[in-house]
Amino acid sequence: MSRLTARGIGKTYGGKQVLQGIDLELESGKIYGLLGRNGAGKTTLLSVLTAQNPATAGSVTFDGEPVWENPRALEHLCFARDLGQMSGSVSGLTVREYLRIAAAYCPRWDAGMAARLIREFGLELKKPFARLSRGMVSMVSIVTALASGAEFTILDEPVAGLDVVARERFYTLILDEFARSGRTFVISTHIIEESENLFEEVIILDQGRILLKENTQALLERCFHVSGREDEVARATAGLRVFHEERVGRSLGVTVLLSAGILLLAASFGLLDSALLVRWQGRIQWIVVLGTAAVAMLAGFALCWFVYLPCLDGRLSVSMTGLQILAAAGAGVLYLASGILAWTTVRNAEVRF
Amino acid sequence: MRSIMRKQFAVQYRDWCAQLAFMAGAWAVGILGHGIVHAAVKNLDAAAEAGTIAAVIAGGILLFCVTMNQTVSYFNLEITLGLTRKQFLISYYAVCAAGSAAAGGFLGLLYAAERALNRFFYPGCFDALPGFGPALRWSVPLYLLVLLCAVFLGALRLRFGKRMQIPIWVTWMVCWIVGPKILTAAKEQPHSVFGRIGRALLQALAWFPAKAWAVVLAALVISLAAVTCLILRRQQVT
Repeated sequence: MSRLTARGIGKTYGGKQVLQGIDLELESGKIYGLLGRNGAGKTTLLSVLTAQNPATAGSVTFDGEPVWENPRALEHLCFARDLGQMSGSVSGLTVREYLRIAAAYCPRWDAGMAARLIREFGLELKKPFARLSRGMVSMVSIVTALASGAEFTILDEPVAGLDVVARERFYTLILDEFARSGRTFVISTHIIEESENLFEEVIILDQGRILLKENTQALLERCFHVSGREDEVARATAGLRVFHEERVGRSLGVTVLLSAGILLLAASFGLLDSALLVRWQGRIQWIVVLGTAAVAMLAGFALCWFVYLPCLDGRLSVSMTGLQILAAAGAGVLYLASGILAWTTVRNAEVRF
Repeated sequence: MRSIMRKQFAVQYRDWCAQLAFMAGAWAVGILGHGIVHAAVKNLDAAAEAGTIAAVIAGGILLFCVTMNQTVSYFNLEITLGLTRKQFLISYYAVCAAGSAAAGGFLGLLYAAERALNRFFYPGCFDALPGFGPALRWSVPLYLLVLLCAVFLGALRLRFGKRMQIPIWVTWMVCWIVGPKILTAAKEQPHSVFGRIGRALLQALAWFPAKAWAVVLAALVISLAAVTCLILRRQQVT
């Protein structure tokens, strides 16, 4: 399994720190989403990962080999930049000329795929870049990225300027190619909603730092939207990190991300308990925790009484029953302990926007 | 390295073709103009003064194209497509030098063709403009020098961005407009400001022997190439 690894990456532009202490490991066979606001450092990070820009600090390696000025490593990487931002370098070229040059430079270029995508997108090969629309320029980037055949293919804002239909088609193309070849894709985008089903992992970049790198499904399971009267929502989410806030009149809706402790709680008690804790935290959290522990103890006892003991087939002894009851009580105590741990986590969670 | 050269050629060949086409076009315009002057003026001497004007125009186009080379565009495009900076520098210099040599050879062909045409159509005319023949023989090293300067200026533009536009423009104007004016004034108006500067320059040139100037020129070329390498070594895509 190939790995593209960044260690302690820093990048400064004219005294301004754009990237700070980035540690990142990208494994082959995944689709990563790089999310972040404008100016968060997404393009800079991607260009440093592919040796298009030198890092001020840190190093980037591909399977242990440095990427900087290393043709062997660079052969495996393709960074399809936003060609709209490179207009000075490509404006004099036609689409046909640009793709011909790209084909010469990419060792695993798939000419058949390029031709198919050109037909599908309806790209006019004779048109110079200077006369292409924003969407068409994005399409040329997409054709280049997909046809490059590179093991790690990185796309910078590939859907910028594309309409909804073209965006959907792009996501399908990426998934088809991923299923066919198992290549790794890293896609930077702003449109999170449309791409949540595409990314296996998301990397969130903010002010030059990686806020989060996590499996998309796990992240979605940790995210909750709490809405209602402003004071109740504020009380319910007190101590939690709020990622998004919407106000309509006296109503408030917030998106919160539960920490790993809460995830343990969710695994132990079920999502219902977690939701209850989030909803009613500050008022009845002890009732929820103790109640669930009591239910767990009763369930353990019932399990022993109605399922396990009959299975002993008459070989029941009082001491054995006592042991089972003790085990059920132990399970209850364990649940209670995890509940206390979860509540402590909720209570001490940091609130940030 | 051969494959890198092939890639570099794939990027540059369109521009070289355009350059050769411009040269051929300029040459054709020069030939036509010469013919029109010859027919209209009905004065053999006046037409003869034009000499191999078509080849001179084509040479001017070649020099212009070499100085206006696209280092910035090529660098950004090729590094984006996965070339290392070292590979870029080596292949870029090599392909540019080969292209310049080819263009120089093509200019020689145009010059020879124009001389043959002149001999056929205007048998009484002068064969060529004085000094152009020897200049043509030095065309390849001259183009290489201009090319090195042009790549150096391109590297400066990459490194310093738009801040370098004005100094580069001023240098270009001094080299191609003020320079010839100074040298002409030194002969025709020696007491004018430009004439005095020109004479001082020529005296300075005559101060050292030609070999010493050759050494200075070689040192300058090496310095330019070295500074270009240093700039591009850690240059980012802009």
